[in-house]
Amino acid sequence: MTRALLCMAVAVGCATPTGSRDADSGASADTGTVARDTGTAEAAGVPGTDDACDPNAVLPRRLRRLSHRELAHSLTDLFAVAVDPNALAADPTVEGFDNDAASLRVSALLADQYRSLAEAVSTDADLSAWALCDPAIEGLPCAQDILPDLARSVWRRPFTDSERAAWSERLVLLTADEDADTGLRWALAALLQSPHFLYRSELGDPSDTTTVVLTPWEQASALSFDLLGTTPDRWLLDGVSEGVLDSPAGLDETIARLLDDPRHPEHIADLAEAWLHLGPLQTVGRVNLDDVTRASLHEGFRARITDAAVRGDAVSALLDTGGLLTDPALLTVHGVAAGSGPVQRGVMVRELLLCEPLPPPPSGVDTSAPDVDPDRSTRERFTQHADDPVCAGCHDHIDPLGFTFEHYDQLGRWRDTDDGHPIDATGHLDGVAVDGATELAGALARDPRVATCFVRTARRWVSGSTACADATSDVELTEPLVAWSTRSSFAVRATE
Amino acid sequence: MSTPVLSRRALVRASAASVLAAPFLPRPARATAPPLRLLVLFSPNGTIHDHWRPQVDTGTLTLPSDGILGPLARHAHELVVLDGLDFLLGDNHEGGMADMLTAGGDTSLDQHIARARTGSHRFDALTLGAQTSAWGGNVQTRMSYRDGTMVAPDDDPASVWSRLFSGGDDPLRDLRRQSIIDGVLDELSTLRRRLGTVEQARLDDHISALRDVERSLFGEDACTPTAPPGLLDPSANDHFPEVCRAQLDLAITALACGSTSVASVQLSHTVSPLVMGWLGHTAGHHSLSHASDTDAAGVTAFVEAERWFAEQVAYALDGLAARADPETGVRLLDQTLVLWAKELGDGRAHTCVGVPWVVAGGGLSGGRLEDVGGLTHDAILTELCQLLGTDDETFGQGTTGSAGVLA
Repeated sequence: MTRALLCMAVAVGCATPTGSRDADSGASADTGTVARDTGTAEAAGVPGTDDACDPNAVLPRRLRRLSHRELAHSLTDLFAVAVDPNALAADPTVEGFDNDAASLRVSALLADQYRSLAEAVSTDADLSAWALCDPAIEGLPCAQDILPDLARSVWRRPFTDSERAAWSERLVLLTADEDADTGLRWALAALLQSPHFLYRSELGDPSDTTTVVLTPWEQASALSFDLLGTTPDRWLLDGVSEGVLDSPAGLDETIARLLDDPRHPEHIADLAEAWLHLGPLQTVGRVNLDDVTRASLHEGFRARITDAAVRGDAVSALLDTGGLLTDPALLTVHGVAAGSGPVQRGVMVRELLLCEPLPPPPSGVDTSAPDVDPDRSTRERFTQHADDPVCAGCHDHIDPLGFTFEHYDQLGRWRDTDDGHPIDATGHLDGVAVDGATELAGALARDPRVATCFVRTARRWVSGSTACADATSDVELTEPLVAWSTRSSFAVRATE
Repeated sequence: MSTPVLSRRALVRASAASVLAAPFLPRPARATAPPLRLLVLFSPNGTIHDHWRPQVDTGTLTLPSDGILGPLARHAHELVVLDGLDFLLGDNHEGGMADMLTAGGDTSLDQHIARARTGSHRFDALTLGAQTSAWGGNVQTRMSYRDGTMVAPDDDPASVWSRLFSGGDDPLRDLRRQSIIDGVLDELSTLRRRLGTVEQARLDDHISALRDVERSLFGEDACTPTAPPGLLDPSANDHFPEVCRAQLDLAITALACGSTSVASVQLSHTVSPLVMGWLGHTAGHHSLSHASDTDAAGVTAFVEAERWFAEQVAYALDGLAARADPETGVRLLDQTLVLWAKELGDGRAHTCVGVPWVVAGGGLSGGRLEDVGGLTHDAILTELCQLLGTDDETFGQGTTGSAGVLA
């Protein structure tokens, strides 16, 4: 029963943890940390990992392919259709995020999925918001009237004069000898496959200088995607037409209005899901986890976040009284198929809440799991991690956090005993003793590493590139995105 | 005269010859035959060698019925089982997954062969999977790469079916689709001129992707639609068996009707959390792969899981054996090289030593256990490339040259 090396990691590397690891939640198998990196940490001008964090660092001039989530939100908001972002070819994750601007590309598979999605959406789309007339009855002239307005919504900018003429002809071609409503819907399918829809343009006006300024249309897109995660609505686009974004006061007013939009707290919930790697909740195998439970766990998690965002809660409050740490969805994703999963949960706290990545266990070390032994509790089975110095180097950073969750089973439900064994849920946060996950949540709420980690995560997510954060003791959930949209370099991009 | 020194490879070849005991099989005439097709299968989390390693009794490859390879017994005469194969560079889950089909290069075996044959089929490669993507695309979840970019498998049989068969006869729809693609290509070219080189590369990928889509939509093949796969959520854990079967069926159909000559079916991914509830398991596959030798119940469950994967491979070989090659009319299995790859040797040690690969079909003389004694796997990848008709002398970062053990 006793083996010399019963562990999942060694001390080497845990002093300066930097890597992916081995755990059933898949929480941090980054492409950002291996040779075959599809990521972009090297891109010039990106707020980076330098000693000094400059939140106003200028981003590169770029095209940003819509993330699958942004695409789905946009189509739903425009056309009242349901789109499953998970049905599209999964994008690479970099530093744990699937919206890394430099890595989002269009493969043959994705291009074909875009095509079939565009055809399906254009067939089912509710076009009443643009229907000044009925093309099925009034024919091509009506469709030609509708198309430019429809294109402005889809492309997030108006047609140029030459595009207007060319698309009028394309509409005729696509209509062929069928009715104009059919032709208009094929034209919509074409708009939806265009790079002007599929990429967020951050190119600015043509310029020979080293920096460019985003056009007002591009600024509107940036504000809408950054604060709401979706395409600009008619109100915002009309405002751009009227020059609202040309004045600082108009810009402030626009931001204030977007922050009042009910989609903003939903966007914060999307951020929280990305932060805490909730994605696998949809698929992960756990004993007694059926689809109804899955959906209700997911809803519960989102409601916890949106409620906190609406209340204006800080990260500390979300942890201290908001119940985030013992959220059943969180504990379901970060755990094992049956039982508690102290290693997975400890790693979740260390990597996701404290932003302290752990190295993977080295090869050549016997990582056999402790044998199932009805005479011992889960915690007792893992004691070799602490007893064996080869294991303890890393597991001293993991297990004292993870053991505090021993009262929670694979679905995050309270359990009084561990299969009949009394539960010891004591542990510590780097020396601060705690008993149970609720006390750990309190200790985390008072730890400035968590707020700092959240700010960095939020910036990483909203910028689509490597981000940094200065140490902060606490922060409101919505604050990092507000700061992002009001930063002085908001509309500036650096040329290559 | 100096003493002749036998190279390890020559020794390996000699031992291979001595094990040749399988009945003579009719083989296609290589000189005139078109290049072999390729089917790559993957299943995760290494093995336990004592339960995997076959035996050779009096020259006959024997797959113990209770061992991991037992379900492949009916195909034993078609198999070259590689024992003692070490990865060139990789170790651990991530390193092994990344190195498996690339040997440290930027393009994987499947995509390399596909690229060598670009344009010859509707699909250069049909890259399929079963539940590979819940964690997104990362070094744990991807095995196929092209120029350093991950190639995401299509995990949805319904989507694969519609890409293979949605052509149908609708000239007006096809005209519209072609017109739309032409318009998008124009827009991409115009936009491209406004960009620096970094951003241009992104649009170049998009343009190339649309060329592939064009060929898949309007290209010709001999395919007639099979029954569409049932509508089920392909990401649901418990649907895994149906998804596997559907994807294997579609890959084999695509090979058999000539819509591609390179197919892969990646079953889950390394560190797979798959729970084989249909075998009565309550622990994830990765957890089971860490069962220690003293944990009899855990080892038993892991062996059951591995046998289940072996059954899927056997099912694929059944399908290939039952069909004819679309160009030559010979048995499709004789015209298709099948590689069942894994990413780790002993999963408990997290090492890529003795990685349990099996090669089948392609007209190879099967029924062999090849002890390749620490040969690095770039040599097998090189030999596969050569068998598939490329002139590669090495593969990835490897310098070994062809293993010379398969043919």
